[in-house]
Amino acid sequence: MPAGVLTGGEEFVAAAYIVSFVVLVLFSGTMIWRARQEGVL
Amino acid sequence: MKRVWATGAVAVLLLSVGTYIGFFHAPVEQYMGITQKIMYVHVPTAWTTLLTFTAAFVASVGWLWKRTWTWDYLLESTIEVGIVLGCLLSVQGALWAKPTWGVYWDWDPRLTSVAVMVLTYAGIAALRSFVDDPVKRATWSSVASAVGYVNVVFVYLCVKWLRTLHQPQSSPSTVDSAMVLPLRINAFGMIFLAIFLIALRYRMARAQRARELEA
Repeated sequence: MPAGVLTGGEEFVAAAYIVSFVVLVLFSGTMIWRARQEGVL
Repeated sequence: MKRVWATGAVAVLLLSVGTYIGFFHAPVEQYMGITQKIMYVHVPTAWTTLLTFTAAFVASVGWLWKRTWTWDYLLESTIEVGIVLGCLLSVQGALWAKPTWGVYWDWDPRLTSVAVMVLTYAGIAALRSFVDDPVKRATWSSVASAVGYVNVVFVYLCVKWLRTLHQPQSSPSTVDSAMVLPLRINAFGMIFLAIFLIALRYRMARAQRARELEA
C-alpha cells in the first residue's frame, strides 16, 4: 500500500450513515406527529 | 396535502437510490479509501443546510419588507429544520475528520464557522420562544437572521478565502464523474426532504399564529 493511502475506517462510515438515518427518521417522525397533533396533517 | 407527502416519498426514493449507487457502483477513492463514502451523505447535508438558511434569509428580508405573516411562517420553519441539519452536518463531519485528520474536531475556519452558524440560529430559535408579541418576535428574529446570514456566506466561501484543513467545495469539477451521480441524487433527496419538513413545520407555524392572533 503506497504511503498516504488511508485504510480501514469502515466503522466511521457506518456510524455516519446510521446517525444520519436515525436523526432524519426521528426528526421526520416527530414532525409528522407534531403536525397531526396540531391538526394540520 | 398530497404534494407534501409526494415530496417526502420522492426524498426517500432519491436518498435510497443515491446511497445505493454511492455504496455499490461508485468507485472507492484511491487515497481516502472507503472513508470517502461519507461524502454522499455529508456533502448533500451541507448543501441543504446552507440552502435552508438561505431560505431563512429570504424569509427574514420578506418579513422586514412586506410584513406579511407567510414570511414569518417560512422563517420559523426554515430555522428549525436548518438547526437539525446543521447539527447532523457537524456530526457527519466529525466522523469523517477522525479517520482522515486524526481528530474529531479542529478550530479550522470552516468547522468553527459552521458551529457559530448553528449556535446563531439556535439562539434565534430561543429568542422566538421567549418573545410573546408575534410582531416583535417576527421582527427581532428577522433582523437577527439577516445579520446571521453573513456568517452563512462565510461558511461557504471560507474554504476559498482562507487556508483551511477542510477541502474546498465539492463540485463536478473537483469530484470524479463516477462519484457525481450519487452525490447529485442524494443532494436532491436531501433538498426534497428539507422541503417536506419545512412544509409540515410551515403549516404548524400558520396554525399556531392564527391561534395567537385570535387570542
